[in-house]
Amino acid sequence: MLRDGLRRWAISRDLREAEDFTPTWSYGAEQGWLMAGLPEDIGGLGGNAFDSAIIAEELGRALIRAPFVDIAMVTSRLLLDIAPDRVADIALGTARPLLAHDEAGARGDPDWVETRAIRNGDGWTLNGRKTGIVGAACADMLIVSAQTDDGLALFELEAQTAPLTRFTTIDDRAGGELLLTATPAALLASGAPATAAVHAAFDHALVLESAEALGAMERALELTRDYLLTRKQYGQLIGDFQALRHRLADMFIETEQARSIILRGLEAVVDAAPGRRAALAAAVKARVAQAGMFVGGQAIQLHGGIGVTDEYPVGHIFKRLFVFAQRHGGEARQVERFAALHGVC
Amino acid sequence: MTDQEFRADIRAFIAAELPPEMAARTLLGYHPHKPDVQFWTAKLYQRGWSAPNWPADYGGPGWTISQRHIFDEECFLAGCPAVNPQAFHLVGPIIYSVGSQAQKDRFLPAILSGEHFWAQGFSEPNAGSDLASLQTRAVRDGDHYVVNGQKIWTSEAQYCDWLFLLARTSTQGRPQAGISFLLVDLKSPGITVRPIIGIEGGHILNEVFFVDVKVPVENLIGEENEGWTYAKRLLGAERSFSAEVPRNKHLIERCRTVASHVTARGKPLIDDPHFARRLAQLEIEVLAHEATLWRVVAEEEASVNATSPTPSILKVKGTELMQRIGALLIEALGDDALPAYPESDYKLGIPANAPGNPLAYGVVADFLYHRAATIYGGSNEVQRNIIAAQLLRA
Repeated sequence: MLRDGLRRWAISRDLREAEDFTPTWSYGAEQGWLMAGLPEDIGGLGGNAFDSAIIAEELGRALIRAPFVDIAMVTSRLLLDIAPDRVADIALGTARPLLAHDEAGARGDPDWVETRAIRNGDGWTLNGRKTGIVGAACADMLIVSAQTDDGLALFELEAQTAPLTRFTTIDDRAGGELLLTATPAALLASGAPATAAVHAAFDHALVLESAEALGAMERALELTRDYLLTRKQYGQLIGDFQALRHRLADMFIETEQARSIILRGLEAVVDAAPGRRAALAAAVKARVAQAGMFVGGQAIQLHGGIGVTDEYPVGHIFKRLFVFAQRHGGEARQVERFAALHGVC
Repeated sequence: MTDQEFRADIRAFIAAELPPEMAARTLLGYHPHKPDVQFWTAKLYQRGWSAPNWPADYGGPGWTISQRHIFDEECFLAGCPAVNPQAFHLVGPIIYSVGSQAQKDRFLPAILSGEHFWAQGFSEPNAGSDLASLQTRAVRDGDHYVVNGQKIWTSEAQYCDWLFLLARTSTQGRPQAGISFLLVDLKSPGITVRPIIGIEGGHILNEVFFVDVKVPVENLIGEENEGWTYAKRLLGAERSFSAEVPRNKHLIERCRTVASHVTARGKPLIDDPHFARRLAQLEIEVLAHEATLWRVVAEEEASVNATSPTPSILKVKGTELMQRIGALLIEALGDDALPAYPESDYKLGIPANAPGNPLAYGVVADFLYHRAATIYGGSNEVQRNIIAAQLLRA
């Protein structure tokens, strides 16, 4: 039902354009997209990551630019563990905190944090660079990970006054990076709970961003199928050429492999122990990134010239899959991480 | 002159004449900047090197095919702006080999000096891989043809002076039989150029519309209805230059440079054995590809084995390698590859508060634009059909 409603809402959307953020976020809040995967006692609908994944997949099909996954599925997961009282406002759409954890040198290793926090009187100041913050311009609060003398800790910064360099990502989303130079920030959590929360949030990010990418892959596959059934060259439908039929079949195979491994990843983020959860999340990201680059790339190839234009949706889908495939270290780094965490399958 | 001496001459010329900021701008990988192309074409022209592929009688330097490849590689790696390819590689050779004396006198000098830029009007919305199905019509009316129709994927049309066109002058016989080759002044009344923005966010492609455009009969190349023969000769010639060996070498080096300057978990990325291995694997493929190129060059220079499918191998491997190396380069940039770094903001200067890493400027734009490389110039599916057809010929 959730899926049908979302798909109906998105069906006439122009994939080439970013939607208006504010009305989209309000609509999403009304429809329950922000609370679907959250427990009832803090204002959620009592679902889990499987419910979130349905929403993520449909948002991906529609190439929605707003950071529903990043805020409502990843950051809310982080806060559930360390500051559950904050989560109700996310569910209602009145708060939009966003995790800023990745760094350029981390390459998909959630434990690699070079940003330093220094105690300064009663408060703290931060130094370092946080990169790849997709959705940064939509956030009202940034939650930043940093090293202290006692290990990893989490801090919060008002987005309005944060030293945030905003940029548009390749796939037309509101990205940003933080250049922290003695920037004051409030401590949110430290010690083992902070580390455990970051791990859980990172694994959720890998799996739910993959679900979002799956939606984009499905859409690319459908557009390509339709094109093969309408475009004629040499007096016949190009879908009659065996080489192109096989390519379409391979795109389908890759999309279904992605769907399957995402289901494994969802099981893991719902109830596996942290080690197994991390390994499966890495596997999901690696496999779906591989599939996504193939499906997106071949969608362009089979469309020919129009595939490389801004005027046609398929290039926008490719760019979405491309950004997905690059984030958090990309396929290769998650393969290496899986190898290091081995022994789950 | 040995190849080493020849290479040294080219290098010395480039070092003396190419402004470093122009080289740096070119190497970013955004679309050509017309003033840079004009400047560099004029420099080459003064030296007699603007048309290495033309016979000496028409203003070429008289180099061997090997020397031309060496020249191309030195120019590409040093960041020389490329000359207008449609003029020098496509219409120029057609004019000097099929054109009338009057056409040669009128058009070739302005190409050589870089004064005139040319656009190619071949593809149409319904005539891509199947080019012979083109529908743009040219109807003879006294001493003019009247052209009506539409062309697409017309690179650089927005700043070109002339366009060469395949148009249908007859519907008799096979589709290939009724096509003529016309030279059209882009300032002619009735021509509209519409930009097509690419997925990289840049403008190089266009649609060109023709409504009752008058083209003087003296701008017909060769015989009426024989245009397909000329175009086919054009597309069949110089196929070793579709190998893109310089671009692939440049991408390998760019990848190595980035990997030497960025870190992965505290160490230079280039010191990570997993990454180094994958870069090496691609470099080995480039070596094999380059060695294939030199075999084809040797065949071309000896004028043997002209029906070998190896030129199609060059196009397939050259374009697929550039896409794979581009992907590894982007992986090396990591999170700093995510900002769009749009051509409009980064080609001619850097905005205040630029995010990311200067090593990333232009990388993704170049990668995204070259998704088209496996489509244009005869898609790689068509190239594989050519290879298979030759292998399976009874």
